[in-house]
Amino acid sequence: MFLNIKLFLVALTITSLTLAQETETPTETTAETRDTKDGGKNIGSIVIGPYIPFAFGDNFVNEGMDLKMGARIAFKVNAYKGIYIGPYFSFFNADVTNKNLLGNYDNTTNTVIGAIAGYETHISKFDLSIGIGVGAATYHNDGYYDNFSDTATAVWLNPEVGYRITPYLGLYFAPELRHDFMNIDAPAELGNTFEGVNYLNLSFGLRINLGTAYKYL
Amino acid sequence: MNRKHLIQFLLLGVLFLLQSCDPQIMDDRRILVKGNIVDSENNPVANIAVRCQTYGLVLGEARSDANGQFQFTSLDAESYNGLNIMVNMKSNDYYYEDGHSYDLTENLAYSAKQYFDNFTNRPAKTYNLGQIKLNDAAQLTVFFNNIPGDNNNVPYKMEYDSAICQIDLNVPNSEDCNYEEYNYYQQLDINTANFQTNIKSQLGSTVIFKYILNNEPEQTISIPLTNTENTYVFEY
Repeated sequence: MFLNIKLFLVALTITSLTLAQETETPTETTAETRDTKDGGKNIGSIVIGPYIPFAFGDNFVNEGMDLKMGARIAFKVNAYKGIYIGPYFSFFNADVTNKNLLGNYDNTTNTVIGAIAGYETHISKFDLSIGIGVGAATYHNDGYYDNFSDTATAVWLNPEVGYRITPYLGLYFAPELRHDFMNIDAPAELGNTFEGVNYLNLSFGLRINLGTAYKYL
Repeated sequence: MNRKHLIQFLLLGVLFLLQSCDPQIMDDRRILVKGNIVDSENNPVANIAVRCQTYGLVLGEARSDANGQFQFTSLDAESYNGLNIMVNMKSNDYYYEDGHSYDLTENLAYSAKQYFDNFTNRPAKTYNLGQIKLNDAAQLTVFFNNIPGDNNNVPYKMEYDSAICQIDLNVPNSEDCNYEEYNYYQQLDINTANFQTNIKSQLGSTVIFKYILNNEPEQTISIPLTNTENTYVFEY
């Protein structure tokens, strides 16, 4: 009985010492170590910059307008594991060069208000994304006496490359392949001149990264 | 409502009325206008202006080429505004376009045509005007000479083909060139001094001169325009 008690006490002592060893871990960690375990929070990004339009194909914009530079801004909100969504706005101006084909007006301002969605990944200092967008396009047309509008539904494919100069600031380059489905009512003899417009637009500029995750990418 | 608010309300109302009177261009709409211009001998006529307008607002325009042909895209007016296609007429800054004044003709060697579409629900369509024949212009100068010693009272008026013919695009064969210079009689009497009047019409047409001498039955004189410059002397 006494031997069992002794064995019990020895076993208890050994067990206690072992447990004490396990609990002897540092109670204070560095912030970096703690955040590395979390990965930070990726809210998204804002891109803003010039927008250079190029029309192509058999349509009234390519055959009757001289396109000028505009601007573009998009807000990509990180929704889930690299998938983003967000609002989009762009505009550009153009002068009418062929009134015989387009009608008697002088210039237009094209605006698109819409939404984008896509997937983004990060490799080293680069942020790579591919997305699609849809929006309402309006051609605000001005003539000598009066103004009027042509409307369309715009859809576009938008790959983008961003380079982080600092964790929260960088540059981006985004080509955009876009098609405007025009709502213009025109006689059949005008063919597909006013049915739709194809664009290959280029945008580049400033990228502002939102969220702490970019410190650890 | 106090006086200040009443004045503001009235001013806003006036501004609204002025704005609503302006012609409006239709959104999301284009039309096509085409045709072929020839003279009285069916020879093509080049460089004739063709304009699509609504109340002085030019929606589209072009000039005939060496073959007399033209084609252009035009904007369209809101359905409550009529549409006019003016051939060989000056661009008119004024809203009032129902004029037969020869002064509106651009190329004075030819007559002019004004096509109109006042249909309120017109679709986007092609206005194919086909072959447009512009006759040579002709002028008639009428001299009114008061013979001394005669105490005649002579009301008169003239009817002729205007230099500008009007065609309703919704009515087949509706070309109307007839123009009655006055819908009432002008008066000639002992006190009227000698004067002359110029009439712009079309070569090959006839001017109908009607007058009443001292309450007798109406008399009619037909004056054919066989030359580009014609004269007639009326003594009373």
